[in-house]
Amino acid sequence: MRIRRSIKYLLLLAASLIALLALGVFFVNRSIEQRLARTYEIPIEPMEVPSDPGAVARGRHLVTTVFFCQECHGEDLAGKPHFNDPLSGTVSAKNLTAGAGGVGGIFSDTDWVRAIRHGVDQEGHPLIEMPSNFYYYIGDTDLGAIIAFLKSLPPVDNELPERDLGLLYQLAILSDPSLIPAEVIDHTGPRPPAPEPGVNAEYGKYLATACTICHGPDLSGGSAAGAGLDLTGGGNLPDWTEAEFMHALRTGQRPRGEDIDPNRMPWKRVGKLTDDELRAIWLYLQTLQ
Amino acid sequence: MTAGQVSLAPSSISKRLRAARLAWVVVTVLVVVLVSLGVPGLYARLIAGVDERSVTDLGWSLAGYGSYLTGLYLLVVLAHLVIGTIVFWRRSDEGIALALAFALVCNGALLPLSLIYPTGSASATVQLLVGLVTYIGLVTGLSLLYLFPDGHFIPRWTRLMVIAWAGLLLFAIFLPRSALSLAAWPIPLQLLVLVVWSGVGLFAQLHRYLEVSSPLQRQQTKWAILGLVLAVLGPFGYFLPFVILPALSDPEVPNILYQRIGPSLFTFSLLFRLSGLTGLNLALLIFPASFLVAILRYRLWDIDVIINRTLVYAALTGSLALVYLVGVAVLQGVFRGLTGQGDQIAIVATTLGIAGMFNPLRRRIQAVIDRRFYRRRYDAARALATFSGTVQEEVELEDVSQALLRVVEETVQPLQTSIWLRDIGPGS
Repeated sequence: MRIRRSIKYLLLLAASLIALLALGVFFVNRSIEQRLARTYEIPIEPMEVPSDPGAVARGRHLVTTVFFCQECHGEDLAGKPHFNDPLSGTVSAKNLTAGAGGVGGIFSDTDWVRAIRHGVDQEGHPLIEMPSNFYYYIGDTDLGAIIAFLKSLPPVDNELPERDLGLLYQLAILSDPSLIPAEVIDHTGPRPPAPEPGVNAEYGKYLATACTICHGPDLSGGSAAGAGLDLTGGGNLPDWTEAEFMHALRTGQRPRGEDIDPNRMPWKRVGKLTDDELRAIWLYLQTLQ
Repeated sequence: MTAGQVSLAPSSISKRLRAARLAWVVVTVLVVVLVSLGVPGLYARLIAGVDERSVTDLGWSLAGYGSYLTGLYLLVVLAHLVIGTIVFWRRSDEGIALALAFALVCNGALLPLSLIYPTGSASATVQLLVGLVTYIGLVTGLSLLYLFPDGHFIPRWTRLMVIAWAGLLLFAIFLPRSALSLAAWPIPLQLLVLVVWSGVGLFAQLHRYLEVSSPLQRQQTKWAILGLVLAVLGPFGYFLPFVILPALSDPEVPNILYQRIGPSLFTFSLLFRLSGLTGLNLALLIFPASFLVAILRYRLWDIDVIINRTLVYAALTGSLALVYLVGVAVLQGVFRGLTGQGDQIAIVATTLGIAGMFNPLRRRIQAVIDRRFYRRRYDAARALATFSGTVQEEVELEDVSQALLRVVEETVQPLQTSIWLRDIGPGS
């Protein structure tokens, strides 16, 4: 009799826990869906997108070496799935070309600005994962060059599955609101003018914008597994010289000969920066304490 | 029936049995060799297939992760091999026991072999041998569901199911690209086949259990049937998501995306897969474990004594090895602290300690296993020990008689108990 009663209580407890869990899942799902359904009315300043070969070449350089777009969108920028499982859901980086399934053929210049700088799609709904909170500070000239290059991409047909977030991904968004960048960007806030290219720390800081994704906002490294090194003075590069810094990024070898894992630090992309650009970044690192 | 026919039949059966026994030995050696040779590859494959960042985030090293999973897979293989070998050794004259021995040896190696030698990763000969082990494991595994415990198909029509299953697997494993191959069919159809064949097998066992088996057979087989059912159903829960969504097994993402999203999503995902793999391997252990319980506790096939000894001496060896290793390490530390050296002293002292512990520890382990699996014998022995203590302390015949009656009632539980005391008069 006692055993039967205990089983009854246990079943009741299990049912209550399952019900609570289901309720929690429902509210998480609802909250994220509401956030993703929000429409952002963002006044986009008109921007002239050049089409000359020089601008396209500059855009290619920025896309492939400075802002790491291929890391998520694939080498041909035709997009690729990031998640496709029941726990995380279905999430893909968009096909940026004009091929089937791509946004290249349907995006206007304003749509490109909206997506890259503000993290929202054509209808004003927020994108996820897109690091627009970092790219918000890209100067108009460079953004124009990036758009010019993206518009010049050869079309690649790659239809990707629709976004459908799983519970794990929804929880990740709850713990880090910046995964919906549109929510953390001050869309009407002042944007400092982008520095002119040159061998100076200010331009180095500008070039190191995307580095902060892994190395942290002040480049002092992170505690998460695989996080970038501490690049500040007294950090993980204490005795490095400028020549060693440049050699490491060009060859993937540290001064003492250890290899840099290209899967952790995309040195093969960064290594294609010009000497002046690498020097500018080095000068910027010297200013960090 | 003529005398000639009578004499021929047992001879042919005997020949078939001898061939089957020889086949079992060959297949077992094959499994041991294939698994042993593949262990380094399995370890390397496990390490290569996981995102190091998530393993580190869990507080593990890659080596720890690889060793844990490799150990888990080997434990499953070993458990199946040991029980299968004992069943073969003691009961290979019974067809159903031989089938079980085949099923145990091959099924235990199915998952590790599929990981060690994925399609196209080894030579055609090795793939053929792996296919052979897989085929025998899957055919005998499902057949047991239809044949256990007496080796007869009940209902009789279920033999057609087993023949069809064997045919389906023949194409699926050895001719995977043929139109008749199960592997080439759409996934929903594959699932339907698996559900129908295992469902009918479960129905056959249920029918047999409720309608055909005697109470003794039910007692003997209930654990074994539970193991069979879980062995058939268990892997469904784990493999189904992988069949439907293969991306679940590919966790690597660019570091920039990993850092952007944050490690918790990936770490939880790894934890989920790790728990799933641990659960799956533990579920696979239920198959040999349930037969172990059926053999030990309910005397299935009367080979409990062998299993009992195996359990006792395996546990004893493991315990002594552990004590030895810990003892040497601790004593070395102590002696080094006291005298600055002492490796030899620590080894000698620990060895002597081990020698002294052997018998007491063996008795203790034996008692634990008897208590766990031989409750009746254990209770009876304990009751007799208590009674002998009472007899030593009591001098009144009436009290001794009452104690004797009580112990008989408690242990044997007869309908009626009485004591007849012979009256011994003076001088007789």
